[in-house]
Amino acid sequence: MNNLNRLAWFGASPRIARELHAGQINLPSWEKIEKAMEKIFEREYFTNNGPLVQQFEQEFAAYLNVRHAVCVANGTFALMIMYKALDLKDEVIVPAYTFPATVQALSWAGLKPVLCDVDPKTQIPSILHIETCLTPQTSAIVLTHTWGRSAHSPKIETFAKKHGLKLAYDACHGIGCIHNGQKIGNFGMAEAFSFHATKIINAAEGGCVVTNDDGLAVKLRASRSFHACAQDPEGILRLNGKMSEAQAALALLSLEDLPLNLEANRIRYEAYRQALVGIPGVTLDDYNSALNNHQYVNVFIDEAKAGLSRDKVFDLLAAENIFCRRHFMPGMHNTPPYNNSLQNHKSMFKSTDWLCRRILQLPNSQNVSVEDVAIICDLIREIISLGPQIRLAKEE
Amino acid sequence: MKKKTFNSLAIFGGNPLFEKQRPIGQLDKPPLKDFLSGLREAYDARWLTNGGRLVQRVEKICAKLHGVLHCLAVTNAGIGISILLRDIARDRKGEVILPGFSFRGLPHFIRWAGLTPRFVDVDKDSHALDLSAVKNAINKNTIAILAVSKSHSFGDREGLCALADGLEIPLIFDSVYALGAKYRGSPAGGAGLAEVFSLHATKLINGFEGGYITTNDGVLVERLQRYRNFGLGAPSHLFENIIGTNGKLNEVHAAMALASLPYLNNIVAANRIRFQNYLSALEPIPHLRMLESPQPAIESSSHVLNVLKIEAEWPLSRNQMWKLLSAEGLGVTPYYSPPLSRIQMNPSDVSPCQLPVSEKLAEHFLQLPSGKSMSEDDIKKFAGLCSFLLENAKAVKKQLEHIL
Repeated sequence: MNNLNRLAWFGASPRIARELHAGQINLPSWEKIEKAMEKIFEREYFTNNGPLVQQFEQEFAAYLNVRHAVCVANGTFALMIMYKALDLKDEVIVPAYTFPATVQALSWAGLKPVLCDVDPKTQIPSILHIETCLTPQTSAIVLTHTWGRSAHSPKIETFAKKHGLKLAYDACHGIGCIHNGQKIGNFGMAEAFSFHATKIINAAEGGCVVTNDDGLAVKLRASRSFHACAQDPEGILRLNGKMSEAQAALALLSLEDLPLNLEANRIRYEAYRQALVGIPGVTLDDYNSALNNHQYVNVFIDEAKAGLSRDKVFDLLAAENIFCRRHFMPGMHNTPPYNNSLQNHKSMFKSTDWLCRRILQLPNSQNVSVEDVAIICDLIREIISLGPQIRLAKEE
Repeated sequence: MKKKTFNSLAIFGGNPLFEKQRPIGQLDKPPLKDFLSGLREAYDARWLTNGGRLVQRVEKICAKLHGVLHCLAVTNAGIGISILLRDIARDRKGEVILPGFSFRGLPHFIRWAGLTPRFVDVDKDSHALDLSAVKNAINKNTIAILAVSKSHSFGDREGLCALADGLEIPLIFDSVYALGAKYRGSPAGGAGLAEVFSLHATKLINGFEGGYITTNDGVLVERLQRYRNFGLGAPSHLFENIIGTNGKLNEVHAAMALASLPYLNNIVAANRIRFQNYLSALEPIPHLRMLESPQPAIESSSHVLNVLKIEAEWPLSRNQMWKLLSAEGLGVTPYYSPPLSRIQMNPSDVSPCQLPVSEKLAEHFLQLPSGKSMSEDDIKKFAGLCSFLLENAKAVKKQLEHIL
């Protein structure tokens, strides 16, 4: 049992003194933030489509090479106004393996989300999964670029066209990710991004809808506030979705730091890749490295081979101040109220269940050094090697 | 610059009376260092949202400020109203009674909750819900009453609460303009099921954007916590069927609100002086009156808005005054006009209706600049301009016909 005493769960001091969390939380320099806030105070322009919001929209649109970027207070509001502006009706097919906001925003927009399973490898629905959910009431497909992997494909586009369906994307994971030579943001009719603190562009909270459709952009701009605009479309549903100048200031600084943060993410990801080699039952979710933002470092824990469940590893790491996440447990098909109508269809979501049981998201941010990555991976290796003793201790 | 002839009015090409625009909103700001010190705390903690320490502090202070047990900070007042209504409705379809003379966002907040706005008329003096109109509007489809406290009056709060209690209809208050005001000596916050306040930059507590809900209902606040954070949390029968959203207040906005909060009383005191200045300056001018409480013995106002009543006898119409004053560099706008019950901005699936009192009120009021940028001198200049317009009304009116 002596070996167990090295672990914080069993009484040792945590291997890492400060808390390390999954999620980006990349911060620009304090001096830059201070200066930006000073200027806002000088201008006394605090919100309502201010100069910094407009500047960020232009810069972000230019970065993605899209015609329009419409910023809002958070990524969920982006999804809500995107769904309304697209004028979707009745049923919308959406993956069960996604963050709740993708699905909940559909309900808020008065639509019926129809959940589908995903491919276990890409973690994105295939045509087959989507086709299973197709009914005469289906008006659209909304797919998530899960972990920055593009959900877009010519096949999906053709399928949507063939069935007269609108196609839009939850791109909250996708800043800086590239698909077929184009940045995520250029696909479907519109895409919604998040600038939540855990994303690679950090505005504390924040979101944005991007589109190349001029008419859609007019509707999106109008729908985020109650201010009359020159080209005001009548009858649209609006919300107070305004991004403040403080949020925009952070977003601009974060956009400036984006190349550095992308590179730092990639370096940490590669460090994880090397250090995780050979740990039984622990497999890194491998992205096509050149095309991803590496915002997320996920591993799959196979209990049969690792000897410990993902949840046990999660708890043991938390004791060491390493706070991982188990996205998207329990899956939207198991989340009330969406589970109510699916009681007899649980077998439809085998891959989502498989992923929800196994995935563990490891810390990857500015606050995590390559040395920290080595410590985290050593700990995982040690924990797995101590699996039989840990199980025994649990039973005792 | 004082106007000498009607041609020197800015609308006809003269120089504006106010070189720098006087904004309509409060736009007070706390000392920069206080804001930065709060922001630094969040920065050092690397905790910028998701129920951070600063948000928790805002909630604690605001609960105390309003004399309630619970306060829940949210992204803005609008989403606060929507999550409250979603929780009240629990998937039922039906109507929400609201005043036809109010903020244009309200029907939208109701629609986002999946419900239908039912406009009813208001009291001609308080501009708050007319009790008999509410009684007449209640039917089997009524899900809730969304009452609005106006900047100059709370209206008949007790009557409304008694009616809602008696019929067991959930009553919530949009109390954005009640912050800093008192009703029977107490601040708003604990009436009905819940009250909703704003931390928008143009309001008394500048948090850039933001809002909060006050209530004495502990179970409600636990449910609302789920609504504002995607329904996440440990499973429990209490929280079933919550369709959440992102309604979180972030730490940057919370830092701003925290820095602004200590100045609330000072801002209200300055607003009172400003309002008195408006009253004194307009006193000698006939047919222009500041909107005041109809029940001053039991309520006070924060004067976050300054609203001018242009009586029918005044020689220029409200819209003419709007254009004339705007051209002179004054942030002015028609007050709830046209009435909410038939504005163009309503969602297309909301049926318009004609409400006689609201219609009449919508013709006469103009919102004037509030906040520190409107000095005593500015107010005197504004009143001087009004006197000038009265003296030259005939010529001004004639000239306006050519351009408006």
